[in-house]
Amino acid sequence: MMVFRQFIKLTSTELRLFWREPIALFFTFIFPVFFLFMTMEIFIPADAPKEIVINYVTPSLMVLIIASTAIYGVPMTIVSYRKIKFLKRLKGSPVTPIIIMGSFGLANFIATLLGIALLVALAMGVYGASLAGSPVSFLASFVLVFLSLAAIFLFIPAVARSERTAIAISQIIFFPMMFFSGVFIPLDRLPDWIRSYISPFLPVTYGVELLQRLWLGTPFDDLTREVFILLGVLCLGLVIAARTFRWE
Amino acid sequence: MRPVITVKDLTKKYGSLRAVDGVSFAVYENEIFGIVGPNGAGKTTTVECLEGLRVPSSGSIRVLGLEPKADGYKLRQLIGIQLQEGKFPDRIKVKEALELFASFYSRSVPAGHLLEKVGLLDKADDYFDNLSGGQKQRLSIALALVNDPQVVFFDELTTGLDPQARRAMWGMVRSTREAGKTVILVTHFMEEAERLCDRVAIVDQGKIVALDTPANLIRSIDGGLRINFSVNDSGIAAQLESIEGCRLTASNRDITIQCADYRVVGEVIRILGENDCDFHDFTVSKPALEDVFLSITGKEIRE
Repeated sequence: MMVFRQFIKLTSTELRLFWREPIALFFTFIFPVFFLFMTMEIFIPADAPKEIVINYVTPSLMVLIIASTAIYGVPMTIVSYRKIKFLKRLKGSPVTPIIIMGSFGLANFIATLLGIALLVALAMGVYGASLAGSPVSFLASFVLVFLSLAAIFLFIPAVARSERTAIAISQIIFFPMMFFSGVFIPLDRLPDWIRSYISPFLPVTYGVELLQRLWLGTPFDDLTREVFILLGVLCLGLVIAARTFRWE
Repeated sequence: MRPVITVKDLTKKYGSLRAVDGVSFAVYENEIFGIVGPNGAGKTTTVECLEGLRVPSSGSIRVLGLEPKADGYKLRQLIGIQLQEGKFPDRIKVKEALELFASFYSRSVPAGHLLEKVGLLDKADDYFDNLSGGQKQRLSIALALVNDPQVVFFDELTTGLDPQARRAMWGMVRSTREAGKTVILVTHFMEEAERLCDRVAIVDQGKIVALDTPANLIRSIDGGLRINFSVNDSGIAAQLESIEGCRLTASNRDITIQCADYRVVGEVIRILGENDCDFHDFTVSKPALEDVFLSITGKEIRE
């Protein structure tokens, strides 16, 4: 019972702190919406059928939000909490590491979900986006994409000692990842060599693939390859994090 | 008095470095126990082993009858911790931090009561970032006391604070003890240990080099009193040297005399007067804990 209370309180406090962080708010709420309008109004050819394009754009921008949480939000929080010894202080109280990490994960998941709710509301309201597949398998896949990306990028706080290094690493990873994995530009418009030698090695690619195709109505059963790869990424991320994570 | 903490042969190695090297001591109920020494002496490593934040390489520890490694979660319900240079997220409000930590414990003191005690009642809605250095430390104290702990660990509580804030912290440490708690105070600031602690362990290079009350430690070193003054004619030194039980060192016109008791002071003044000797800047000082460290280790303790 007490474990439950600790978990709820840590999660709600973390969410409050997220709410007070302008950069996190920008990447979660403003940037994806801005990108949605830029794409729909400027980037796509004027004669392209918007009601079709929107259903490709919406799921890929969901992955943008997940990736920014996974690559920026979580690593930065961990590095800064470690630096001020807040992580160590938490460890010095009767809270288990699983509660601490679980609550960070849940708070970031909720924040991501809120960002996506705003994006989807606008995509549906303004451009008539609609989910063709099953909502249950879409939601489950969304959770999987979140967990696997959040886990694999936990190597950033393991490598970076300072916030400055963490930002540098995140930036080096984030933008190429967004360009080469089908988030900013559809995969079929990328050069062949990128598609065959770079994209398949980026975990984000499988997140975009999975969510986009489920959104467009491909049955879950036809996407087992993506699901298994993401599960593999999740396990790999957790193993690396468990071995390299530093509390101080 | 029963011991609340017993440590036997505690050793913590990092590679070939022995950060803590065979340390043994006991801390009794309701005392303020000081662990002092220069930076890097192994003070923080020692208390972090007691808190269960670090695993000792060897030795045994009992805190409130519990073994910190095996019973960590149980133990941390009963102790309070303030970490050296420990801070909180910039955008957490004072009362939010208190509520958060209160939720971790099976028993907790009401937030308002704690804030009043540390003088932060009017800062309850302020962000951590907006607090002064002293206020941040007050919050750390409040958070260390949130579970009404039996044992409280303060690690370099006053480092980096101005003298006024430092004195305020000392008051809080004393009132923590008066509330019936046992306090372990880690500091490299000797004056602090001397003023606050009932007993002090002096640590150097991972070992306890002395452990006693501050008064006993000071008494234990030679040349209890130190007389300093300047003269215009240093010829007087030869006469002064003949006083029994006095050790004189003269450099130019500055004379330092070390002696065991105050009779020598009278004797010195008598000789100076009889010889019509002009002297100035006459001071008599008692040695401090700082001198104890110097005399035992042969090193100055400095930040």
